[in-house]
Amino acid sequence: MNSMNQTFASRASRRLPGRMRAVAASVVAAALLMTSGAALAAPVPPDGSIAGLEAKFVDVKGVKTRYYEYGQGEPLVLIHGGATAGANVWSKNIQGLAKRFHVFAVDRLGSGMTQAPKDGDWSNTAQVEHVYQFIQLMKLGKIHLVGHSSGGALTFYLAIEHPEIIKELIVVAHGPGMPALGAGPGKVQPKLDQCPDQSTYEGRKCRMVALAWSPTTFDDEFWAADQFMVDLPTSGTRTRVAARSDAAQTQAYRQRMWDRVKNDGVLKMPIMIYGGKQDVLDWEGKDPTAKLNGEMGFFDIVGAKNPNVKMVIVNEGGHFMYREHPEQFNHDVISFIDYWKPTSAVR
Amino acid sequence: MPFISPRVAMAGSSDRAARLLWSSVLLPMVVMLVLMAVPQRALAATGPNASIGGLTAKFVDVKGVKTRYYEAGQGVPMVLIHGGSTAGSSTANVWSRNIPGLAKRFHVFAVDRLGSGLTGNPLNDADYATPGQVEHIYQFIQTLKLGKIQLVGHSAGGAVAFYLAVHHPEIVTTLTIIGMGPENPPAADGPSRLDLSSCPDQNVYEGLKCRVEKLAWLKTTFDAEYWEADASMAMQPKSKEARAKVVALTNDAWRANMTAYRQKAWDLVRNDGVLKMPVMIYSGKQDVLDWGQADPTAMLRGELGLFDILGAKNPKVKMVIVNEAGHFPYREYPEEFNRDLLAFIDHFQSQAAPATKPLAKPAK
Repeated sequence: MNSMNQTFASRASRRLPGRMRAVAASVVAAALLMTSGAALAAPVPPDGSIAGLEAKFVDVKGVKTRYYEYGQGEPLVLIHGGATAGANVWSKNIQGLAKRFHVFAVDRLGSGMTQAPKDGDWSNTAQVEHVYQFIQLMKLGKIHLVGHSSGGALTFYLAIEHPEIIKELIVVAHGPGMPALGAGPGKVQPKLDQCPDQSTYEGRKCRMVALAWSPTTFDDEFWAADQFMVDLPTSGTRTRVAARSDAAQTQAYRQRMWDRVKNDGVLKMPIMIYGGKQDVLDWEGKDPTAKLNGEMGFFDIVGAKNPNVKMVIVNEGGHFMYREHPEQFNHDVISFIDYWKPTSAVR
Repeated sequence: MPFISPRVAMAGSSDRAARLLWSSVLLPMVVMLVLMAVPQRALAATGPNASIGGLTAKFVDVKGVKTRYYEAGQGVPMVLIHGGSTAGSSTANVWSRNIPGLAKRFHVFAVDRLGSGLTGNPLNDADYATPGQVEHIYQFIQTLKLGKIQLVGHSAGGAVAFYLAVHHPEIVTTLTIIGMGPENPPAADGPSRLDLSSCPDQNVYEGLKCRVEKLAWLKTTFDAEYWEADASMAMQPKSKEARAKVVALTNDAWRANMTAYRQKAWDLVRNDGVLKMPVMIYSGKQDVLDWGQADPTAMLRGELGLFDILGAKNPKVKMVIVNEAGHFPYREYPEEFNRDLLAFIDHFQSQAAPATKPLAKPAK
C-alpha cells in the first residue's frame, strides 16, 4: 500500500504551504493507512469477487478459469488488461451492461484466479486460444467483444484469428501504433518512472494507481481482492513477468497481425476504439501504447480497409475510463452495438 | 470563419483567363450536360425557397433580417448551424439528410446564417464578422422563443455555436461541434485521399463548390438536387454582394479583431470555465480542411486541440471520430450521426436524474 498512500499524500499536501507539508503528509498517510487497514481486514470472498458480484469457475481445456456471468440475451465478453486484477476491473460495468446483454467477464490465463498455463506457454497465441476455448465451451456463438489495454490487443488478435464469432469489436485504451502525434496535456502527469519495477507486485500496482484518473478509480475492496488473488499459490502474476521478456517473438506476432489487417483487410466487423483523453500509458517508456497518439495509430491500422471504425475519446479519463465513467462507457457500448444491429446499420 | 480561408489570394491573369473560359463557355456546357443527365425526378424534388430533401423552408424576420430556416418535429428544441463563409456554398440544406431523423425526437430548427442561403445580408457591414453571426443566431432563437436548446454546429457554424455557448451558456443544454478545431497541437492526421490543392480561389462560387466537393469523402455526399438548390442561392444578387463585401472587408484589422474575439472566447473557456454543459466534438477521420496555410482547423490535430480547450475545465466532453468520413460526416453517414447525437444527449439527460437500481442476481 505504501506507494499508493505516498501518491495520495503528496497530491493532497501540494495544496498546502510548504512548512505544513511534512506534517500534513504524515497525517494523511496515517489516516489512509488506517482506512486501508480496516478494508484489508474485511474478508475477501473465496472467489476473489468484489462489488457484490459472485464469480464462477469452469474448466477450460484443463485450466480452471474464473469468470463473472450476469444478465441474459446476446453474449458480450469482457477481456481485462495486463495488470494484476483479472476480471475485477469490470466490476463497475457488469451490472449496467447485464441489463442488455448476457455478460461474461473472464480472468485471462494466469490472471486473477484463472490458473497459469501448465506448459508455461504465455504467448499471445496461448492467451487468445484460452479465451477462444472459453467462448466455445460456454457455447456463446457470435459475441460482442470488449477488451482493455493488453486485453484489447488480445481481443484484436482473437478477432483476426476467429472473425466468424465476432459481431463487433470494442478496443479500450490500446494503441500500438506510433505516429508522430501529441497526446495533449494531462491534468496529473503520473510519475510512472517513479514506480518500482514491474516485476514486483508493488510496481504493477503503482502503475495502475498512477494511470487512473481519480483516486476513487480503485478502492480498498478492489485492492484487497487483488492482493488476495496475487498471493494465491496458483497465481501466474510473477511467472508471467519472466515470459514478457520474449519481446522479439511478441513483436513478430504483432507485426504479422497488423499486416493481415492493413494489407489483407481481414477485420470487417464494426470496431470502436475507446480512449481516455488523459491516458498516459506507455510500454517500456518508448511505445506510446495507450496515449492518444498510439490509439490514433491503431485507428489507422484497423481503419485502413474497414470503413466501419469509429473512435470515442472521453475527457477526464485515464487508462481505466470505463471505471471512471461507467455509465457513459456502458451507454456508448450499448449505443454502438445497437446501431450495428442488422436492421439499423446503413453503411 | 469560413471553411474557406480568410486569406483571399489574388488570382493571376492566366487564372483569370482560364476562369473566364470556364464561366462563359465550359460551365454552361457542363451545366447543360448535367441537367440533361440528371433524372427529372431529382430536379423536381427541389422545392420552393431552394428547399431540398422533400423539406419546406420558412422565413422569419430576425431584427430586420429576413431569415430562412427549416422547422420539423416537436418537443425539445434543437438548432443546427451550417458551415461555410458568408454566401459560401453551405446553407441549412447541408442538414437535409439529418432533419427528418432528428425530428423524430426533437423540435429541429436548421437556419441559414446571416448572409448565407436565402437569409438576408447584415444591415451593418460590421456584422459580416463572427460576432454579428453569433448575435443573429441568438436573436433567431429569441424570436422563435425556443428557450433552452440542444445546439449543433458544423465547421464555421461549429465556431458560431461555440461562441454562442460561451456568451449565452444559459440557453445551451448540450453543444455538439462537427469538423472544427482551431488549435495547433503537434499532432498528425493519419492518411487521407482528400486534397484541396486543385480548387480555384474561394472568392468565386466555383472555388467554394470545389472545396465542398473535395472535402466530402463520398461521391454521394452531395447530389444533383443539392447542387441545383445551392447554385440558385449562391447566384442571388444578395449572395454576390455578400461575397464581394467579405473580400472587401477582409484586411489586417478585420483579422486582428477576429483573432482577439477568438482568443477571448478561448480564455473564457480555458481559464474561467464558462462552458459547463456536455460537449461532443464530432470528426471525420480523413477530414483535411485547413483555414489558411498554417491553421489545421478541422484536421484531427486541430480538433484534438479544441478538445484541450473545451476540456480544460469541463469533464463532460467527448469526441467521436468516424472512419471513411471527410468534412461532412453527418451527410455521409446520417443515420450514424443522428444515433450518436441522440445517444450523447440521452446519456447526459439520464445523468441529470440518476436512478438507483437494485443489483441483479448472477445469471442461471
